[in-house]
Amino acid sequence: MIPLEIEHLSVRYGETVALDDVCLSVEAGEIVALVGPSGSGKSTLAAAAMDLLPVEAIEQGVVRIEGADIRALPEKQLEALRGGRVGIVFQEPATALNPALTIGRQIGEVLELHTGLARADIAPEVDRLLAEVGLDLSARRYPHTLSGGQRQRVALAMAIAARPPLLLADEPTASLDPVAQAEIAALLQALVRGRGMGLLLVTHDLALARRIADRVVALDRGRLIEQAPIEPAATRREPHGGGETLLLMDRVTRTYPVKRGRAAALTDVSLTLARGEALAVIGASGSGKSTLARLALGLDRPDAGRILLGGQDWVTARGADLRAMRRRVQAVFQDPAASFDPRQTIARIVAEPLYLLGNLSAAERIARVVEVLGQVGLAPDAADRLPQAFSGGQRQRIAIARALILKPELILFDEALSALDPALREEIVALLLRLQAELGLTYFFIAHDMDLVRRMADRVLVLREGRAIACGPVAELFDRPSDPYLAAFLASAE
Amino acid sequence: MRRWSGPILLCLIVGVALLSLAWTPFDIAAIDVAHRMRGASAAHPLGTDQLGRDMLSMLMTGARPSLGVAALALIIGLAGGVPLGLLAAARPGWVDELTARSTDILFAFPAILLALLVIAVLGPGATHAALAIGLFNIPVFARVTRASARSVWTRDFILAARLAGKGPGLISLEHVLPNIAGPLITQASLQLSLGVLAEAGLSFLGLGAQPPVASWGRMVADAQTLIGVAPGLALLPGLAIVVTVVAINLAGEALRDRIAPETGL
Repeated sequence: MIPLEIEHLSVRYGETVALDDVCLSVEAGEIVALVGPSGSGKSTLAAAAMDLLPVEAIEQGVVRIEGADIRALPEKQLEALRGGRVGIVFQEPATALNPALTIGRQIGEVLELHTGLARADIAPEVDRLLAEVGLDLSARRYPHTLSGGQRQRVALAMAIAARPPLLLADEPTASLDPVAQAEIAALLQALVRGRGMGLLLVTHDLALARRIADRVVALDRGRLIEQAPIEPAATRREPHGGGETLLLMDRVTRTYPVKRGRAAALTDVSLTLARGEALAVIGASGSGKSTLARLALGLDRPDAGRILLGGQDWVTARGADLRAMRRRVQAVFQDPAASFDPRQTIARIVAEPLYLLGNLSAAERIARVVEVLGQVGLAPDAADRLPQAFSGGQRQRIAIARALILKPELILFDEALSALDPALREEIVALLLRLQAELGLTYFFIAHDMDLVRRMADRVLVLREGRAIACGPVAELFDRPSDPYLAAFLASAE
Repeated sequence: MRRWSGPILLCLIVGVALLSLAWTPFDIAAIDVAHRMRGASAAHPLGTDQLGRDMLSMLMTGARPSLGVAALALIIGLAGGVPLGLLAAARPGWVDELTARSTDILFAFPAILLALLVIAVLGPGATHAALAIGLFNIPVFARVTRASARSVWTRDFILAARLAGKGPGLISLEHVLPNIAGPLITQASLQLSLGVLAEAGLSFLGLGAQPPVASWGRMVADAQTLIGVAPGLALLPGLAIVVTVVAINLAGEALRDRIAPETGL
């Protein structure tokens, strides 16, 4: 029997069409990746597969799980279906698990509800499931004692406990670091093959979809597109660099106080960044990337080592010198929702760095705001609105405009593109490449996304647990990784 | 309707208090023992009290110490607590630790005992009551400000402001304060109504406004032995206190919805 069949499904919320005549099936042992930008109907489709949509929203269509039309099933059987015949894994394992119960209890609960297993057989079955998802730890552990990757494995064990023919995974790796992402992806693939389940993988990570899925289907505004995933539009420019050194970090160490003594966030990290060059720093979460970013921006001070921007030291610079240094570097942050004061208009937000120039007339200010909004492709009337009025991609343009208004030499991007979906990311990449060519900017990327690094950066620095484990030109490092950790890390996004 | 009922009611009460400065139906200093404890009449719509004074005039005048003391206490609390909280949030480390611990110590004393202590030292009176209540408002505002401000300080737009070369003082004023307006307004309306209650309590104990100034709390105290004979004498000022507290809370809610709708509790 076919695990999932969707025929001519149309869903409408009031005036908005969420799904338009969608046909999709998932065979046993098959991985189907469902990709598309946010708002394209991915989640609606997943919810439809579990009959979680309001009845009045469905205009037409049939959803069958193992041949049974789920809308014809009584509520009792639907409950058995969800979690029983259809296993579900969500994006955030931290919220999917109950913090007050041991992981063994939670997996056992699924077995109790959805299988006829005798009480005595549950504990051994739980241990077997933990082993199957590659966890070698006690069933008595609580979720908070596990890492993100381990929690996602527990969530997977719960999802497959009742031996469902169909597994639904909604962005299962989005909240994990690259190494854990690669491991979970490999585990999903192994489980599907081993158990002959069907897997519907909802994701906006094209690299992941391409790597593990048998088929990739794309949704765009509720319509299924049979075409292959979006190909990158902008291409990587020729490597620059070799000019004078703009940023120099020399054996920098930064520690933070912890319960006993101090923990090092960065140890002996050195790097140089030449004018016109693009450097990317990559590493798992907790590897010290953000600390490095703050130090480079002069927002934090090292315990040891020197950080020079244009030959001047962040630590010793004072007064006018410090202000001059500040004018040379700006940043774009990860979360476009948190990087603006929600109570200020775009004009005020974008003009904020002008504070460093001292007294400017109101007319001068607004002229510069309009100019810089134009550079990032926004209309002047955006200036009077509040950030809440803009979409994620537009907000990131506003953040770039704010970074550009002082005409800085160096712009640091702290995972600035990771919150955007692929189509928007393409637009921003093209914009950044154009700005770099026009304005001769130097870019410093803190990144998660290897694809982006390949296309934007000249050189890469890899951090692991606060130490630089590799540094070199992108092509060299990616094609001939020198150490197994690095190879595993890079493989996670290839 | 619900949106406007609070502000309108509060304006009315404040208006009456201000009016009483210029005009009341009768002079509240005019004692007329011959006509004491009379019921409602055309001349005295709410009757007269145990000394023959006009109840309506007494209630109008009594609004003054209630609102005045609570408002002064609120201003003391805001002026002392908000900068303290902003400072603590902007300077993690010993400054933060010191503020947190000293507010803890102030909180360890029951509010009314603290007020009694202050008045025992300074002597009774409306200004001293305001000082005592205001002193207790300071740690309350310091805490609310510090907690809300700390969460604002973790946001990326603070980093952007620091990149623009702005110092902690300017960032606190430009970015932090506007973003914590919601919780501050909520707390302010709470403390204002608590202030009205505290003033009534202190006056009831004879520690607030002193005669001949009328105050709702003392009117209740003076009338309590007569509650079997003339219940209105205690009930009317009590009712005035309740209505004022409700009006302040409703007005605070309306103000918060208008200024900081996104932080609705």
